[in-house]
Amino acid sequence: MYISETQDFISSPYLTHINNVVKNSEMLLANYTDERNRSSVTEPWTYSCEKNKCIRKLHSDLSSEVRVTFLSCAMTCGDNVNIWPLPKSAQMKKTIQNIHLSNIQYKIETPFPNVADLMHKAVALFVSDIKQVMKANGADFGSKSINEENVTVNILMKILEFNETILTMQSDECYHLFIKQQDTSLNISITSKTFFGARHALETLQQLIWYDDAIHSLRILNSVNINDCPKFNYRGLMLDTSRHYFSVGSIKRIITGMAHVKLNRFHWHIVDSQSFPFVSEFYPELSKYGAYSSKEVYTHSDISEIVEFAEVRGIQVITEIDAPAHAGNGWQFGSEKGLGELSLCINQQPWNRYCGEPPCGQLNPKNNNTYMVLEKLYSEIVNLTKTTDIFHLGGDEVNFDCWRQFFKGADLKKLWCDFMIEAYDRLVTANNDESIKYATIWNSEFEKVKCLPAENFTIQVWLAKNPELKRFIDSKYNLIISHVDAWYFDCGFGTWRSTSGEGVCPPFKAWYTVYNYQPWNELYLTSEQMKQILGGEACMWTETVDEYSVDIKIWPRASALAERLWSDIKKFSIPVETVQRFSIFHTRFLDLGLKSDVIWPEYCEQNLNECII
Amino acid sequence: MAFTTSLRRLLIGLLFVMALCLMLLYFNESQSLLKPASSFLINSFDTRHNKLNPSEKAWTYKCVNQKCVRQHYSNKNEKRVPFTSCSMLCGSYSKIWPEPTKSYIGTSANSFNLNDVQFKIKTPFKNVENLLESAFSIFMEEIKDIFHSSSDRKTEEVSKSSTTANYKERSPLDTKHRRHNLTNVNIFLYVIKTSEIHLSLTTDECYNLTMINEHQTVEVRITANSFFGARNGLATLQQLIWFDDEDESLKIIGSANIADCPKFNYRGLMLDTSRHYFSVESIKRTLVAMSHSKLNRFHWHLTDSQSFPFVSKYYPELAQYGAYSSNEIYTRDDVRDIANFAQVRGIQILAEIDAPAHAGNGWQWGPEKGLGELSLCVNQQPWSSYCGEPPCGQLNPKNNNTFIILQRLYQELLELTGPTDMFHLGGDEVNLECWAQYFNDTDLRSLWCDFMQHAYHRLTIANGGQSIKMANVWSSGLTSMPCLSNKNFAVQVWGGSQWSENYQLIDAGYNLILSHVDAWYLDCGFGNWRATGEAACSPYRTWQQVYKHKPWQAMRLNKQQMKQILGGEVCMWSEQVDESSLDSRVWPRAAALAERLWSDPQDENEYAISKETFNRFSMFRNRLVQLGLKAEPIFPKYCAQNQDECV
Repeated sequence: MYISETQDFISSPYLTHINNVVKNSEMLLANYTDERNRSSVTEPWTYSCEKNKCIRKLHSDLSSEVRVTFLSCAMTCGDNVNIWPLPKSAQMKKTIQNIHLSNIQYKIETPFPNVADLMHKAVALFVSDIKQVMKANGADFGSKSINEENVTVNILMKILEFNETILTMQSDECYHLFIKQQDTSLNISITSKTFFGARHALETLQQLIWYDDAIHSLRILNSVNINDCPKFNYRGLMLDTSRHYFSVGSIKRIITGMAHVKLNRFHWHIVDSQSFPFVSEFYPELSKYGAYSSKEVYTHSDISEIVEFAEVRGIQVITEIDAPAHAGNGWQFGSEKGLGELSLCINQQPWNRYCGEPPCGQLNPKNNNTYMVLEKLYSEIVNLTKTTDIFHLGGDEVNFDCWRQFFKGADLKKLWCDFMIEAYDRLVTANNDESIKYATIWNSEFEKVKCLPAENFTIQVWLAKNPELKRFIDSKYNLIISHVDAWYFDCGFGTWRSTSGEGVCPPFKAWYTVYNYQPWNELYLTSEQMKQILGGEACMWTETVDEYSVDIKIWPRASALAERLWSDIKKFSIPVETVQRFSIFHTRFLDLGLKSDVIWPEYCEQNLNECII
Repeated sequence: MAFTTSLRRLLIGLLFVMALCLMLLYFNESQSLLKPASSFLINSFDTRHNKLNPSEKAWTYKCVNQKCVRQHYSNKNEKRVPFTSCSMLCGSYSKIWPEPTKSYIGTSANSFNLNDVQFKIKTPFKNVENLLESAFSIFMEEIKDIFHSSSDRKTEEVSKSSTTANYKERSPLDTKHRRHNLTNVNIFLYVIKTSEIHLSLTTDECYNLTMINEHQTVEVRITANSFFGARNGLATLQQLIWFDDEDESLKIIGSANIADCPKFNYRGLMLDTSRHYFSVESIKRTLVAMSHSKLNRFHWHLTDSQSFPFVSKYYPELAQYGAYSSNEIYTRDDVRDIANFAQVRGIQILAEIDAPAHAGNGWQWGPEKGLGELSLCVNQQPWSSYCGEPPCGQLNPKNNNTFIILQRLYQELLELTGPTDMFHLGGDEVNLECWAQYFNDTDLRSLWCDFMQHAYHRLTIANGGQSIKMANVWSSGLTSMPCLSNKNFAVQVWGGSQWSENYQLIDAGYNLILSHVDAWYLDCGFGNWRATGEAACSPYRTWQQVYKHKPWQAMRLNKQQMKQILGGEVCMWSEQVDESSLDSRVWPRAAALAERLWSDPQDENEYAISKETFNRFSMFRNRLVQLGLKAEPIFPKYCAQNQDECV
C-alpha cells in the first residue's frame, strides 16, 4: 500500500517538483496565457437571497454591510446544486467555510505507484485551477484575507481497486466525495476504485470552491456528501484536424475544457483527403505530400505530448486514419516509390462525381501496399496513444463511382467490405496480435452492407435514425451516438462551396438542442440492450473553423453534451434550475482561463431569474 | 569610509552614463522609424499568433490558366514561388477588396526594404497633413507587423537575441539582407480640395492611385480631394504589398492605375455594447478591420436596457447603476480615444443612446436624487408583457428631467465624437403597454412621436443650437406614420427586405440606411436564448448572402429614389456574442458588405459567386488574420491553397 506523506498545498516538495515539470515541459498545462485575464469581479453589486433567488442590488460605499458577491449568494441560496455535470446524488448544507490555500493538505492512499504518481499530478492541476479562479476573481495573492481563520483542510484520496490509467469500456469512473467540518479542521474524503473516479471528484470539488473578492477569501461549502457515477462510459468530442490544422496548444485547450466537464474521449480525426498532418516514421512521405506546410504537422512527440496531457485529465485519445474514403492528399507518392497507386481519384474533377466534398481521394483496395502502409500507421498510433479496447477505422462515405473507373464489373460493396475486414486484420497485427473489441466505423455504409461482425465492430451513428438504429441494436452492434441533427457542431453556417442551396446540416444546434437530445428514450430498450449504447460524441468538423474560432464553436455546447451523457436527466424541456446552473458553470469555465461562446446577455448572468419566461 | 563614498559616487556615475546610453539608443531607434507613434497608432491586442500562413516550403505555385496551381516543390534548381506571390501576380482580376471602380494592375513585382520607403504629403491644409502623417505611420506599422509575423528569420533572431543581444544588427529590416532587386518606394500623397477631417454625408472619398516602376524605384501617387480619399488610397496600396517567404522580403506591385469611388457614402457596422461589454481593445480591433474594408461608419449602440456602460460627466449615476461592473465601462477618455483611433482610419463614430425604449438599467436613480422616475417598467416582470426581451425599461416621456439628461448625454457624445452632420437617436420598439400603465388617457403613439421630436430638439441645443442634418432612427411603427419630418430624420430599416415598409419609407421621402434583418443581421442563427423554439431571425447569414443582397435592384428604384439610399450597415447585436467571439462573428462577413456598398459589382450570375470573388475574398480574409483579427475561414485550408478547386 502506498500512502503518501501528508502534502501541503503550497510548500509540498512534490507539488513544487511537479510544478517545475509543468513549467519545463509544458506537458501538464495548456499554454494559453496569451488571453487577457478575465475579471469576474462584479463590484459595485451586492446580492441578497430572497425567496430562494439572488437579487442584485447596488452596494453603497457608505453601507456598513459587507458586499455579498454573486457566487457567495448563488452557492448558498436556494436548492440548486451548482455542479456541472450534475452528480447522481448530492446532499449538502449551504454553509460556508472560509479557507486559505496555504492551509490545505492532501494525502493519497493507493496500492498502485503509477496511480499515485498520476494523482499527484492531478492534484497539481487542481491547485493551479483554484489559483486561476482566484486570479480571475481579483485575488491579490500578496494580501491577507479579512477573515483570517485557521481552518485546516485535509484532503484524503483513496484509490484502492484498479491500477488502470487509460480508459477501457469497463472502467469505473464513480467516486464518493464527502466534506465535513469538525471545529477547525475541514475533512474532505475522496474514495474511488480508479484514478478516473478520483480525478472527477477533484473536478467536482473545484466547483464547490470559489473566491469572494469582497472579503478576499477562498470559500468552500463545508457539509457535502456526493455519490457520483456517469450514465455512459463513452463521452466524446471529435476534432477534425485535416480541413484546418490545429496547433498542439489549441488541442490542449480543448482537452482542458473536456476534463472540466468530465468528457473522457478525444476522438482525433487526424487526417482526411484535404491534408495529412500526421508525420509517420515509416512513411514520412504522407505528411510531406499531404500537410499544408512543414509547420502544420503532428510529430510523434507532439502526439505523445497530447496523449500524456490527456491522460492526467482522465481522457483517452482515439486517433482515426479515415479509410478507404477521405484519403487523398498525402497518398500520391506510391507510384514514385514503386508501391503503385495507393489512393485513387486524388483531386479529381469535377469533384462532385467522385466524392462528397473537394478534394477527392479514396484508397486503392486492390493494392496490397495500401494495407501495408495502413498497418504501419496503425502500429504507430497504437503505441503513441496506448490503445486499449477501442480504435477508430473511419470507413465512411465510399464513392463507388470513383472505384468503378478502375474496377469495372467488380462488386463494389463487397470491395468496401473486404477493405474494412482487411483493415481490421491489419489493426490486430499492429496491436501485437491482440484483437480489439471496439473497432469503430462511421455508419454511412453500414445500411448498405451488413458484413462486419458485431463482436469486433462498433458503429458511430451519425445518420441512421429509427428503425435503422433499432436494427443495429437488434444485430448486437455497440453504438456511439453522434447524430448530425443534434451533435454536429459545424452545422448552421451555410455551405462554403457556393451560394445557392442549403448548408450541409442546418440549423445551428443551440446548447439546449444538444442538451435535450436523448435518442435512447425513443428506442424502448431493455436494460441489456441499453448497454449496447456506449455513449455519445459531438463532432467538430472544421471546413469553416480554425483554431481561432474553434473554442467558441465547441463551448459551451460540449458542456451541455457532457451533462446529457454523464447525468442523463430525463426531461422534455429544460428546467429553470438547469439554465441557471449552466450559466454559473459558464462563468466558472471562463474563470478557468478557457474561451467559450456566451449563453445569453451578461445581464442575465448577473440576474439569473429575470431572463426566463 | 571615504573609499565607500567614492565607490558609491562612481556607481552612481556609471548608472547615469548607462541611463544616458540607453536613452540615446532609444532615441536612435525611434529616429530610424517614422514619426513617433501616438497612442491611437498602436494596436495593443495580441498579434503573436498571426502565423496564418506559416511558410509552406513544401509547395511551389505555378500560374496556369489564370489560377495558381499547387505543386510539390521537388526541383530545387527551380525557384520556389509561394502562394502569396503567385496569387498576387496570376490572373487578370484585381486583387483588391473591395474591388476598385476602375483598375489596371501590373503583373510584375519588386522586392523592397521598409527602410527604403519614403513618403511626401502635398496639401495646403495643415490639419490634413497631420492626419495623413498619422495614417501613413499606421500603414508602415502594419506592414512591419506583417513582415515580422510572417518572417521565419525574425523568430529565429529573437530567440537568438536573448543570448547574443545583437538582434538589432541582424534585423531583417536591415540593409545587410539586400539580396534581390530591392527598390526604393516613393509615395506621394496629394490632397487638394478640402480641409475636412470629419466625415460627413457629402465627403468625397474618391482617390486615384498610380504606380510606376523606373530605375529601381516604384513611384506611387495617390491623389484625392479629401483626407478620406487619400487614406482609402493607402488602404488599397497596402493590398498591393505582401510578404514573400521564399525571398524573405516584402514585395510591391510595379505598376498600377486605379480610379476608385464608393457607390454609397454610408458603409456601416453596428456593435451593441450593452448586452455584453466589449473592451476598448476589441473595439479598436474591429475598427482596424473596418479601415481595410473601407467601411466608414462605426455605429456604436452604446447603451440599452441591459446595461449602461457610458460614464457621463454630468450623470455618473447612469453607469454606476447601469454598468455590469466598475470595470465594464467606457469613460470619456475611452470614447475620445476610440473616436481618434477611428478618425485617422477614415471612420466616423456614431454613438447611440437608444430612447425612449431600450433604456432601463442605469436610469433607476431618479426618485432618489429628486428627479422623479426617469424610466418606467425597469426590470418589470413578466417581461414579455412590457418589452421585447428582458429586462424591460422605457424612458418616462412626461418627466422633463429625462430630456435634460438626454440633452447632456448628446452634448457629451458630440463633444467626444463630433462634429457631425449625423446622429443616431434610437427610437425603436416602444412598448405601449408599459406606458399604458402610467398614462391611461393619452394617445400613446403621439406620446412616442412627441418624445422623438423633443429628443431632436434637445439634440439641436446640445449641438450649440445648430440643427443636425440627419437624425437616424430605427424603422418602427412610428416611422410608418406621419410624424417625423423627412427633412431631419433618416430611417435605418431593419425589417425584412420584402416588407412593404421599404417602399412606404421611400415614398414618404425618407433617406434610408439599410440593415435588413434577412441579410445584414450578423447575430442571427444561434438559436433563441430565452427559451426553446425558433430564434428571432434564424438562419445564419452566410457571407455569400451578405454579399448577394442588393435590395436597390430588387426594389427597382429610379435615380432619384436611389439618392435616398444613403448606404447600408451590418448589425452585431450582442445577446449571444462577447469579445472572444466577436471577430469570428463579424469577420469576414462585414467585408462582404463592404464590397457590396463600395463597388456594388454587377455579377454575371445572379445566384452564384464567381471563382474570382472567392479567390479575392479568401486573400482578403488572410490579410485580416495577419492584422490580428480572428476572422473565420471561408472554406477548408486546402481550398485556400488550391484556387478554384472547391468552387
